[in-house]
Formats: sequence, structure tokens, C-alpha cells
Amino acid sequence: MKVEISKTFSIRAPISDVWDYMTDIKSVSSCIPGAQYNEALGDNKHSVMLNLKVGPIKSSYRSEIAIKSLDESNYTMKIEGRGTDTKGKGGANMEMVGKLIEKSDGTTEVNGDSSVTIQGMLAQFGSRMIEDVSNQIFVQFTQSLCAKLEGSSEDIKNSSQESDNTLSGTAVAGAAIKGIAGRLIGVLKKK
Amino acid sequence: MAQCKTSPEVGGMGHSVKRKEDPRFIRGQGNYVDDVVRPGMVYMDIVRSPYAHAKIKSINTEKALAHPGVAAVITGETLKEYNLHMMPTLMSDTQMVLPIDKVCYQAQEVAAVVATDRYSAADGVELVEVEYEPLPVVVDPHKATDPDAPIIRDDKEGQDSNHIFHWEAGDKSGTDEIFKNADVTVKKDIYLPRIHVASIETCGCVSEFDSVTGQLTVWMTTQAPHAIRTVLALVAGHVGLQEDKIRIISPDIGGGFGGKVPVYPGYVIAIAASVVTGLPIKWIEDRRENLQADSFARDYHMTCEIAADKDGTLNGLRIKTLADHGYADAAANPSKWPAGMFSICTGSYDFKNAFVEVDGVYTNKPPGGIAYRCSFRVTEAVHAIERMVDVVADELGMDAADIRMNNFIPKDAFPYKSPMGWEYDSGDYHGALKLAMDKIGYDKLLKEQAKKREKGELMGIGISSFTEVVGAGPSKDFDILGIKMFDSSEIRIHPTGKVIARFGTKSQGQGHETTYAQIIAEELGIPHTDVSVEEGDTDTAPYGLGTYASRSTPTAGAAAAMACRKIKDKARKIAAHLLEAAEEDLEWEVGKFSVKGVPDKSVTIQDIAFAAYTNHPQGLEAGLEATHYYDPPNMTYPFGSYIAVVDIDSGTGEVKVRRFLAVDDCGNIINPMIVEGQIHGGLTQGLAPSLYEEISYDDEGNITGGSFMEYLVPTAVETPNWETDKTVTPSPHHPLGAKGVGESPTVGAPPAIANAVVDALSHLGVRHIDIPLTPEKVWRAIHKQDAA
Amino acid sequence: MATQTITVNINGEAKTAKVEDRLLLVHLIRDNHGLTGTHIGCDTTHCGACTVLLDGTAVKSCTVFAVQANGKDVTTIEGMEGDALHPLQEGFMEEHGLQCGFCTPGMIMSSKHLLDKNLNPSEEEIRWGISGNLCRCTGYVNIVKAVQYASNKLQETSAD
Repeated sequence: MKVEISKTFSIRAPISDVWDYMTDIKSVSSCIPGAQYNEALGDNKHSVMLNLKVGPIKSSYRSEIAIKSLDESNYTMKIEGRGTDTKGKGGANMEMVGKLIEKSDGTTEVNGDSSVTIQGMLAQFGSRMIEDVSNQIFVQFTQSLCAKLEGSSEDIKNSSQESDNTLSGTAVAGAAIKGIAGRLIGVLKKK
Repeated sequence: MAQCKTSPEVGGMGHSVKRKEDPRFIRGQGNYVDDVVRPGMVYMDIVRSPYAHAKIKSINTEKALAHPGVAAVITGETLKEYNLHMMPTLMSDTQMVLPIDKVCYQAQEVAAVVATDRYSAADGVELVEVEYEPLPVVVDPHKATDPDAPIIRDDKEGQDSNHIFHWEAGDKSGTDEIFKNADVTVKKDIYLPRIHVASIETCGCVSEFDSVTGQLTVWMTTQAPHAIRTVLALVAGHVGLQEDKIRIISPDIGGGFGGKVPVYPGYVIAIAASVVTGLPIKWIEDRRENLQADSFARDYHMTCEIAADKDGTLNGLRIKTLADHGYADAAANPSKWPAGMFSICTGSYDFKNAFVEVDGVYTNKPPGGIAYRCSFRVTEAVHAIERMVDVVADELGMDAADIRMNNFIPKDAFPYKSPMGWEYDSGDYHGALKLAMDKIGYDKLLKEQAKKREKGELMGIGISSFTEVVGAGPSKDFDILGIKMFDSSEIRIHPTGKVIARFGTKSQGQGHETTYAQIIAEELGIPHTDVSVEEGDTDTAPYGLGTYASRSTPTAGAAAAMACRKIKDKARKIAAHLLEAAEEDLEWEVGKFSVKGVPDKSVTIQDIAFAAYTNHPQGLEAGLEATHYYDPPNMTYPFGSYIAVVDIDSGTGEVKVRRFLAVDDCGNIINPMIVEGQIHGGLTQGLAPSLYEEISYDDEGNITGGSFMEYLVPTAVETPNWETDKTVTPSPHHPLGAKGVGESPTVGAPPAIANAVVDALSHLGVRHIDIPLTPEKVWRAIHKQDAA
Repeated sequence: MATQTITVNINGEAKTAKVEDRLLLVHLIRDNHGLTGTHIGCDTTHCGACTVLLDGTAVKSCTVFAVQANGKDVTTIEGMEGDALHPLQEGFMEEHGLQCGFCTPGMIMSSKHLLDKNLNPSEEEIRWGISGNLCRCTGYVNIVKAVQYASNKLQETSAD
């Protein structure tokens, strides 16, 4: 099952700072809720563990993130990720193109277009939830990233690792259900 | 109303006697497989693949085995030691019981956990860790034979592509000639998507092996217990199982519809595990496993063409089919028929010639093909022809009823040999359609439709005039893995005139305990309430091929009649002895022999039964019983005409079936109430694929219809009030003139509904829509035409 | 896994068992207490084969924990027959409202709930009332007739 996700957001930080941060997989991982950076594998590949907990179900995805191309002149990066559930319940592959644009007011616009292919049980259960779950992951990610880049150096120090770095799925699921219900109410209201 | 030969108390043919099986079911005293409990029984659950195609790198059972409730974990390697990791399919292919190297469909069995209770077994499944290396998948059958398609069955020697078989029937050159010279030709691609029968009871078994006696007993959800026994003896003979020590018990079955014919890996694993561990093992699949891994039905991509004259005379039919079989050809067809009875596709019409070809291909999906009340691909054949007849009618601007009436095989042309070689036994297609049209008020409906059209309202009328072919079958043409498709009845009358009758078939709700008793009541005049019917225990039942494809009445029902006639022959001898008369001076009237001209001098069948044990003539064996193995001389050909009336909401595309009238002809009827019940149920299983059901896969081979959340089985709200009627055209070759009826409605209903929907939109230029006719599909059809 | 001892009043009889917190009510009824008339037909609360009455209300026992029924009354199909068959049970036999029998106990329990709340339902109300119970065999027409039979009989006897 293929899901296309496109996101745009702004950071109040210079484009070069954003570029440097975002092309450093180790740093960026610390902003992704539930991600744990393991090690660099060489050849622009990195091993990252993603822990996801939706309600009582905990899954861990052993992932390999590869930087396929970096073009600093255009501030464009291409990343590929492959993750498999450690218990053998399936996996997901992702291809993402990220582009930074410098805005006249000194902020940086970040554009990400990703295509996620899902295999396994998640595709059966999660197909309805995937969009909302990825939205929530995105929201938490951008908050983290903005906090790291927009704040003072003190804030950056303080915002490093929580004790339980799992993406809290209940919060995600709750928001997702709200999202679905919200859309439904919207539809009903239109009638 | 036809005159019944027997009284309501005796309850022979034609009587709507109440069912003998009901008293236990309405009290919750049925005995289904999951109700079976054996001392020391343990539970089995299955680890399944999340990938549609993947290499198995490793299976780690450590954590599972550490769970206090888990007794064992079985993998392909375990079974390989006993050479039980692979098994043959009914179409002489092979399929995996448990894989060694790779998995070939999502939800495929990968390992099995045996534990002390259900919950520990499920826990154990979660604890088994499997490492996979995903492989590229084949999901689209059209791409299965592309040069760069991955070979799914690289385990088979000589298999260098995903092509399984090519099958043809009819006369290619003759048919091509007709098309070359035709006034009018029409062509359409018709796709019948994969569906699943989803009987309310899922599949399962309880397997118990006694290592001292070597006796294996398996309670199993199977429609064909004897076939299972023989196959087990052949496949597992090398581990010490022999057929006299295998007992398959098919207890009460909660719906079969073809889904409980195949041998699923779960059964084999449970049986192997019970032999190896010595523990009774229960395996019951859950609904998701049932929908995702058990045998499907349909998945036929058909390119159909008809050649006709300008006046609507149908001359030639050509169909080219791509059959998506999943990763193994495990369709439960008779062995010489890889595409089942698909060649019945000339239907009720007198085509001059026809040609069909079917190519089966492998894809990364579960195996199967015919498990949904389809008479071996007759649903596909009838959908094709009934849709195409409407396509021709639309092309020529002809009424759908007229084109059918003009092309039906006439009543006096039977027995009729079709261009495909089928010899239809009897039929009155004009009669059935006329009755349907009269009853539903066809002309009035046409007027209503015209008025509605002026107002922009969408209303459709659809006809389906199908001919079925059931009762497999004559031994010269039909066998399952070599076992000929006769069936059997063993009837014994006790001294007090009560009867025990056993059969080689197995009811899953069709009411055999009642209908077989009624056949015996008809033949011997013994009240049906004095006849006990048993099926399903291979230790006691005579050999038979089971119940599916509407074959029970045509085969085992006939066997019962023949066995009764053997009994009557012996009864005559005993009667002659009792009445001190010559056999030829006796005449039979329901339930008794009397001396011709002296009606007072008579003996009842009950008198005769008593005498068979207490006063039998010297030189004659004692007892009063007979067994008959019936080899049908031909198939039987039930038929019917269905008319559907639909209303479509142009804003949402939603289709509502306002009325549905089914006129069925299944020859002579045993129990009208039971026949009507079969028709109601079959129509509902025809409505379901027409509007709601579909098992589909995404490009990665993930199943997207794998639970009741997505796979929509109609409830009482979606199901209309079915209207039924009948004509009676007996089968000339069946001892009771009966034909079988269970699948006719599933066969005939979808094209009636599809034709009605297309009819509702034909003025917008719509000529065909594939089922299921979801609101989205219908809406798109409406608006695409608007845009055009 | 935490366990507790619960007592459920099933068909008028107090039945005690030590159960895991996660044990489903349908398994308590079938496996712990051997009442196998209640069936399991799905895993997403759709089919209704597991329907029982919990304190008089129809519930799908596959989606109720056994511990939730502690101290409560449960009526299963086995509890429907008193001195005589319940009119619903009679109706299903008279009107041929069953074929394989697997959905039947759940159908009867849902119908009981329906008739307890509405003694004289219309056909549409009956169809909605049993819409939580799937049947693959009968096509529902005769099930509706069975419920109407019971409705008529119950109205007669209540009028007496």
C-alpha cells in the first residue's frame, strides 16, 4: 500500500543552519518521536530504531536510512528509508525528497514529499490511520525541530532525550480519531 | 400444486415437512467442531506471513518456547523430517503445508504454536520471531507472464514461468468463421473479482492419535470426509497411517458453500502435531485467517465476444479467460476440468458454435478458485453469457426479454447437445421466463421506467435466464484425484420397521436428515419420522464424494431411491411368502403389498420388516437392507429466470434492489420449504458479490478485504424480500426426476442485478460495469457519460 | 497475567470460575462452563453469533470481558427453553428460519432482546433489530417470519 505525504512548514532560522541540521541524520533522528539513532553504517547509510506504541501494541522497526543525494546549491536532499518490524510483522519503505527555500523574511521553508510503501499487518489495520498517524508524527517532529533550531543553545541542550523515547501512540491515536471524527462531522455539517 | 403420492404423515416428495435437524440447533445443542472437547486436548494457533512474497531468513522460537503455556512450535523444518511439509492439491499441483525457503502470499502459514489453552497459543504466536527478506511480488495476473516477472513456483522442477495451464473447449475454426461473417459482433471485458464465502463457522479440526492402536480420529469442518480420509492415507501413509485406522468425522457444519472442501495446511499441521506429540490438538481459525488464507472464488478476467445476426439471432460465442489462481492451483475441480464447467457458457441459448480458452496463472495470493457456491465455475460462465446477451440487445436496440425468447433452446429440443458437448437433460426456458415476466408485471415496469426516465430518475430492470449444470458426475468424465464421483446410500430397516440410512454426502445446512428421509418415505411408504439419516462419519458411512456443487440430490438422492428399489424387490419376495401368493400377483401401493384384486390380503412394509428377521422365506437371506453406489448417467441441468428491479440514487450511486423475482426449475421437488430456503440463501449470496463483496490486493500484495470491517456480508437490512416461484421440468434420467438447486440462485442472481443496473444507465450510454456495483463505480459510470 | 475469581449467574445458575482478566465472556461460557450453544464467527464484533443477554440486554459476548459479567445475569440459548420451547425457538422451526444452525442461537437472543423491548415490531424494525447478526444460509426472509411468529404467539399469551 502506497501513501503519498507532502508537508510544508517554516522555521525561524537561517537556511544554512537548517540544511546542516537536517542533513545530519543523527541530529534529525532526535526530533523524530520514537526514533533512536544507532550508528553510521558508512556509505551514507545509518541504522535507526523506530519504536511505535499504538495503545497496548508496541512495535519496533529496525530501519536503515540512506542519503541518496545531497545538492547544497539547491538545498535539495533525497533520502530512502527501509524498516522491518523486529518481530516479523511487516515493514515500510520510504522515499523522500526534501527541499529548503530561503524566504525574504529570513525564515526557511521546508518542503518534504515522501512516498511510503507499507507491507504487512500495518497495511491492513493502519490504512485508515496511516494518514492521521503520519500527520501527528509530523507535528511532533516539526515542534521538536523548531525548538532545537529556533531556541537558544540552552534550549537545545535541555531538549535532548527523554527517558521513554517511544512515540506515544495513544496520543497519536486519540488525535487521529479526533481527526477522522472531525472530518466526518465536517461532512455531516455540509449536508 | 402437484399431487403428492404420500400423505403428509408419511411425508414423501412434495411435502414441506419440518426439519428433523432443527430441534438440536434451536436449543444450542448442535455439535460443531469447536464444541468437541477431548481429554488432554491442547490448542494450536498459526504464525502467518505479513509479506506476499519473501524469503524466510530465520525463525526464532526461543521466546515462544519460554512461555509457560507453550508446548511446542512446529516449523517447516519439523515437518520436513516426516516429508509432510508439502502436500498435493486436487488439481495435481503442490502446495506448502509449512514453508522452508519462502512464503508466497500474505497470511500464509509459517509456523504453528501448540499450547495448553487458546490464549497461551495466541501469546506464543506473538512471541515467534521471523526474519524475512521481501521479494518482488506478482499481484496483477496480466503481468504474471511478463518476461521480467519473478517466478513464484521456482520450487517446481521445469516451472520457468507463472503460467499453470491452458485449457480449451469448443470449435475454434468454426467459431472464428462465424465471427468473420457476422452482421454484428460485440466484445466486452468482464471481470469477476475475488470473493470469499465466509460461512459463519470458520474452519478447524480436532485431531487425536492413539499411538497404541495406531488410530487417528479427526473431527473436521469438511464437506467431503471420505475424500479426506483417502488423501490422508495416500499422503501420510509413509508415517504409518493406514486408511482402516483413519476416521474422519464431519459433525455439524456451520455452512460450507465450497469453502470447506479444500485441505488447508492448518488441518495437516494439526494432524501431524497430534501424531508426533500424542496429544489431541484443536485448531480453529479466526475470521481474519479464514478470509485471508482460505480458498477464494472467482478472480476470472474474461474477454467475451458474441457474433449475431441483425435480427438478434445469436450465432457464435468466444471467451478468452485469464484465471488468477494464487500461488498454487488448488481449486477443488474434478481432475479433468481445470476450468470447471466453464464451457456451459453457451447457457440457455442455441448458439451455432462456440469456443473458450482459459489460461491459469500463479500470483502471490492464496490458492483456490471455486469455493463459493458456484457449481465449478458456472457462476463465471453464466455471468459472462447473461451480461453479453444484454450487450447484444443494447447494441441492436432490442428488449432484453425478446432477445432471450428468440434464442432459447426450445422445450422439444431436449435432450440438447450444446456446441461444447454438454447434453442438457430437460428444460423449458420460455416457460420460466414467461412466468417471471407475468409475475413481476414486466410490461408495467417498462412503462414505469419510461416515465421515470423523463424525470431523470434511474430505474433498471434486469433479466437472467440461466442454465446450471450440477450433479457431478458420470464416472467416465468426473473424478477427484482419481476417485470417481459416484455417491452412495446404505439403508437398513430394523425389525420394528424403523430405518437407519447412511450416505456418502455431508450436509452443511441443506437439510439432508429431512430430505433423504423423505425420499425413503416416498419409495417405501415408511413415515419420514421413522427414518434416521446419518452422514459424515467415515467409519460408518458408505463411500461418497461429499456435498458441494449441488450434487447431493442428483447423486446420493438417486442412490437412496435405487437402494430403496432393491429393498422393495426383496420385500416383494417376503410379502409373497407372508401372503402365500406368487410375486407377480402382488401389487405395491404406498407402504404395502397386496394381492391383485384382493385388497384385504395385504402386508405393510413394517410387517415385512419384522418378518425379515422372524419369518424370512427359506433360501432367502434374513434382514432387509441395501446399499447402492450411484453413477449418474449424466449431469442434471436446473434452470431459471430471474428478474431484478433496481433504483439508483444519481447523487450517491447507491443501488437499491426494489424487487427480485426468482423462478427456479429444479425438476421434481422433495421439500418445497427447504428448496425455497436454499433459494433465499443463494440469492443473498448472489446479492453480496453484486453490490458489496470483494477481496482485493494492493501492489505489494497486502490484502485489503481481510476482515468483516472491509469484507461486507449483507445483513437483514440490505437483503430484499425475495420473491420466488417455480416451474417443474423433471430430469428424465434421474430416478426421482430431481435436479438439485442449492447453487442456482448464486449463479443466476449477479447477472440479473448487473443487467438491471446497466439497464438503469443505458440511456446514458453505459454498456457494462463490473461487479461489485459499489456506489463509487456506479456514480463514476453515470457522470463519465455526463461528461462525454 | 492477573486472575480473579468471578461468579456469573448463567441461565439462573451461579457459576464460579477463576479467570484471567483478559478472558472473553464467550470463552467463559463455552470453555469454562461447557455451554457451547453460543458460537464464535468473527473477530471484529460483526457477526453476532456470540450474542447473549447480559442483564437482559443483548451483547456480543466476544467483545465483553468475563470479569465485566461478574455478579451479573447472563442468558444464553440454553436458557431459553423453560417448561416448553420459547416461541422464538418454535418460530424458527415452524418458519424454517435456520439451515446450518450456526448463527441461530445469536439470532434468537437478539430477537429476544428485540421482542422484550417491542412486542409488535414491523418488518423493518425486525430487520434492523437483527442487523447485528449475519446469516449466510437463509437469506433472512424466514428469520423475519420466525420473529413475527414469536411476536404473534407472545401477544396471544400475554392477552390471555
